[in-house]
Amino acid sequence: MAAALLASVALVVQRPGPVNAQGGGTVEVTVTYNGAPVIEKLKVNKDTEKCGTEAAIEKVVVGGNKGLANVVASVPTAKGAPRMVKATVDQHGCKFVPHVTAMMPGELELKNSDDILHNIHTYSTANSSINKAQPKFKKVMMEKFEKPEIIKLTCDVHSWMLGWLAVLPTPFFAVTDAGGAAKIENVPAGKQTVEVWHETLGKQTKEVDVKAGQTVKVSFEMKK
Amino acid sequence: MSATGATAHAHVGHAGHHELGFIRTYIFSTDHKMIARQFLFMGLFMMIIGGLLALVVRWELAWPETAVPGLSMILTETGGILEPSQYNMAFTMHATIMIFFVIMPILAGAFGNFCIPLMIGARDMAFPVLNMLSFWVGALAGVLMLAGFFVPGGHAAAGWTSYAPLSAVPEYTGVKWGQNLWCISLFVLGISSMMGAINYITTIINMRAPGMKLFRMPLVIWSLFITAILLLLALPVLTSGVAMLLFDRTLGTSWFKPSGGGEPLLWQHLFWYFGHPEVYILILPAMGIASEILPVFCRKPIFGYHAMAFSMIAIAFLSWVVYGHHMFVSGMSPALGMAFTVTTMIIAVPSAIKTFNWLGTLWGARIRFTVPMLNALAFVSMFVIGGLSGIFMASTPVDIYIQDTYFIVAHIHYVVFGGSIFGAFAAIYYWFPKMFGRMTNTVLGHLHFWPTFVFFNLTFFPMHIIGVGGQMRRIYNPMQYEFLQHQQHWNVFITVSAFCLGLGQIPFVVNFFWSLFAGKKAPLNPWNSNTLEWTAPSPPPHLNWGPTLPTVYRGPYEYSSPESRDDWLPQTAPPVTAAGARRH
Amino acid sequence: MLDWWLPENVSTYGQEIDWLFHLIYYITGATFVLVFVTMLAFIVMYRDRPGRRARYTHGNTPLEIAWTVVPALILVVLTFLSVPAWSKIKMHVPPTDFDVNVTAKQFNWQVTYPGNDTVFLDEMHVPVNKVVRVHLRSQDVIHSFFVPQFRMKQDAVPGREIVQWFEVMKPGKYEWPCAELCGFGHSGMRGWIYVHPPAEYAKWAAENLTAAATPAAEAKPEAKKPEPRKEGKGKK
Repeated sequence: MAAALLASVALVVQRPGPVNAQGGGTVEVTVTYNGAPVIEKLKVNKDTEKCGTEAAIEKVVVGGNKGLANVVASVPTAKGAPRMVKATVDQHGCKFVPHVTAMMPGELELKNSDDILHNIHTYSTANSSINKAQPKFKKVMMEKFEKPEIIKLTCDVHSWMLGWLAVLPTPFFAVTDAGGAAKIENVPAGKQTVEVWHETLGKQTKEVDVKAGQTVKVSFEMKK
Repeated sequence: MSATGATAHAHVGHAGHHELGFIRTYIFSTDHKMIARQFLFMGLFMMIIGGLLALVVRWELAWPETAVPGLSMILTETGGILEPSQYNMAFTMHATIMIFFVIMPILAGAFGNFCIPLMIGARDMAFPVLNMLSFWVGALAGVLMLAGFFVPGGHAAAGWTSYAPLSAVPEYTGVKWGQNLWCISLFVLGISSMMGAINYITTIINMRAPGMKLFRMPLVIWSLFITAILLLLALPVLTSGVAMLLFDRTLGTSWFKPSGGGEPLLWQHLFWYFGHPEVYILILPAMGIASEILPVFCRKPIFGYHAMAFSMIAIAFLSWVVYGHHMFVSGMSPALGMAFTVTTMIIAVPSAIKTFNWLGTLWGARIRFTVPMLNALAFVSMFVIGGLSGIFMASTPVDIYIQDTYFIVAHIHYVVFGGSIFGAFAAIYYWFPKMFGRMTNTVLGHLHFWPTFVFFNLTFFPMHIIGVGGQMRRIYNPMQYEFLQHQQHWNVFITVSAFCLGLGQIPFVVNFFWSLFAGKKAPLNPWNSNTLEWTAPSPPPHLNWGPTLPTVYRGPYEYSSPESRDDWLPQTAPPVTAAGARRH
Repeated sequence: MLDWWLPENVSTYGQEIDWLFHLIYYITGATFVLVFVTMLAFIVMYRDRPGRRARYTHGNTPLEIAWTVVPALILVVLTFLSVPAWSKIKMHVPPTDFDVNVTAKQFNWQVTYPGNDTVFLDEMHVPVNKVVRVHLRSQDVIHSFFVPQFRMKQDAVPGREIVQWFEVMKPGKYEWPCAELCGFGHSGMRGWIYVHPPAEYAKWAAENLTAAATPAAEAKPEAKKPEPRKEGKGKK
């Protein structure tokens, strides 16, 4: 009787279990793109010691085997415990590094490792927009993003700087590397939807069947 | 038009002599003298805050991006280094506090309240309860303004001029509640000032003692009368403007936002239509105070009393039609710019007239260099410099270069500090004996005056230089610009002088509080002055005089008159014989 | 002495502004000396000494009239002298074929040339001795186009286009700050205006203002040429 009570309490309270819950599988996502990369170049006149004299705005980055980088792959249907890994974005060399960051709702660590004035100006609707200066002596700033949303990151001082922040409702996500590959581990078994998002090429979804202890591969081809 | 005896008697009857508790005597008093003291304390308290903010601004300009001493406790994230957005907040709040919560409360609030009934021979203001409300509404505005320092996002940071759309769209500054509180606070303060203005105008028109004709009124009363009219007519425009700004920020209107069909320049027109009369509101009482103090310590009448009164009226009239000189390069039609140049050049004339009349008062005088007199002389001389620098900006082509540079900052501070603040100091030292029943300490008065005068000039005169050099306003790091680097040493010089200027105020604080409690008890008329307030006790009791109000027989500045063996002749002294036609 | 600090003027109408500045400087300087010397003299001569009585007078009407009329005349003359320069600088743009578009934003100057899509950030290239017509806009808040050495200043107001002009007489590189508080990046918002002799300008234009090239570029950084870039928000 006590055990039943305990079990029902446990069910009601829904304490999150450890991340590597039993029964998780791996999803390997590959994203390709048939078109040409889009990298816009601009001559730079400000803070040239840190920013160089030319800036590159990477909008579509295509690597080996037509792999599309900077794509956010996630499994929005899967629920799980929040990740412990801290989300960080650095303003380095007058670029947002990484260009695309994925995180769960919570705090983002913003770093300024350049020795110049940067600022964080976000464009979002669900989360309130932020427009804050990050001077050189403020090397770390923490900002909260509580609601799932894709947020654009800019710097007003260096107008070519562009980044993206994907605040996701699920802990199961990864960002594709230069080759277009991303691996998401410990995804709960069962039918799941995998979603990929790219800043200019849009979103796509596919159904997958995740089996515990196994890897399922899913590929997407983005179109213009 | 002399005072109606009926009103005076009604006051005596109504007040009765029932004991008022602590709250009715010291907190919610309807006695104009207590309200005056309340305004004075509020203004002096806010001056400390406004002054500290100025020192923060000055630190940053001299030594950009270094830790400001004393701020590491507050600016914990950066160890005391001011961020650019915080710098913008610092100068915005420095100006807002000094203009709205220091100069106006001290000159118009404190001395308007104290001097008007006493110097026209009335027992109190026409509307004592309204008077009490005007202080407390003003104090509420002060609380609202200070609250803005504690909200997330920080305080307003768009300049005291708050130009739209920077101020109208929270995202552009990252400031949310701070700027909203700024708007609300000024809205509330506007109500306070309008209440006060109604009171002053009504009292001066209706409650003068028998014999106190308009042209026998002391010039400080003239100045406060004209100031009150300006307040009454200008503040509604500001009040409406800040309401519109608040609506743009919070209710989705687009008065000033082009994205919604609004017009940024509309804000500037509304603001400066108020703003220019506002600066005359700031200086006119100080001019009145100088005109009051100079004759007393020169022992001769003010030179050109009528010219002095009429020139203040002229300044007030003209103040409505010059405001566009703040907008010469704003995008406003250049043809309008042409018109505003004409009017702006003209408004220099009445100020020139006043300066020459003050000089005329000094001519042939017997000058006594008391502490109030020193401050009044400082007012005259510093105001001249401020006025002359204004001529540069009145010429539209020259203003193209000068606008938004430190030349303007120099001009502003010569007129509001060199002018209004020295006027306020003069008034405080002069009327302290009557207000508080005690004399201030003369040595401390000199220890305050001389460093203030010297360091004031060392701080603000070089700003003309760096302004001519092209240093823009509201930047925090001049070293970012190659064309400014060669004059950075002036910024360091100015900052060091400013800190010395700050230190120079310590004798004033000490003097003020020490004299309040331990100063020598003041006699009835320590300065041998002619005006009515010196016939009431020091300090005057409730209702100011005994059963009979004073009667006035002559003008206020009959010093060294041949009709008297003394070198003074009070307004209330009955005439010796009916001899001779006298001018007043 | 104040004028020692004026930056070197290199523009045509800057000369008229400087002339007026100096005129006002001398007039106000003379007034300052006159008033201060008088005041100091009076303070010393008329200090209180025993046995003296102050001169009992209420004023002097002829003097009053004199010191009303004389300053008024001086100021009226100053006004008339200011009008032609103002009209020339702000009310009439001389005919020219050289236009440049400047759209201000937090916290940069975005420069484009007619017929060319390239957006230059914080730099403008113009030929010397040519009237340059500037079409000034802002895409967010009020900024102010200020070039100290041209004696030029004009606020850029969002929602409208303001046409201004300048003509520079000396080649060089001129600092171009923003002179109206525009946010936390106001301090440091600054561009450069390069004024070239004709041949040098032609060379710059040939290298930088070619018609729109291919929109996609290689990932490796290229030598000098900035790629054309669609700048969305600026032009209203």
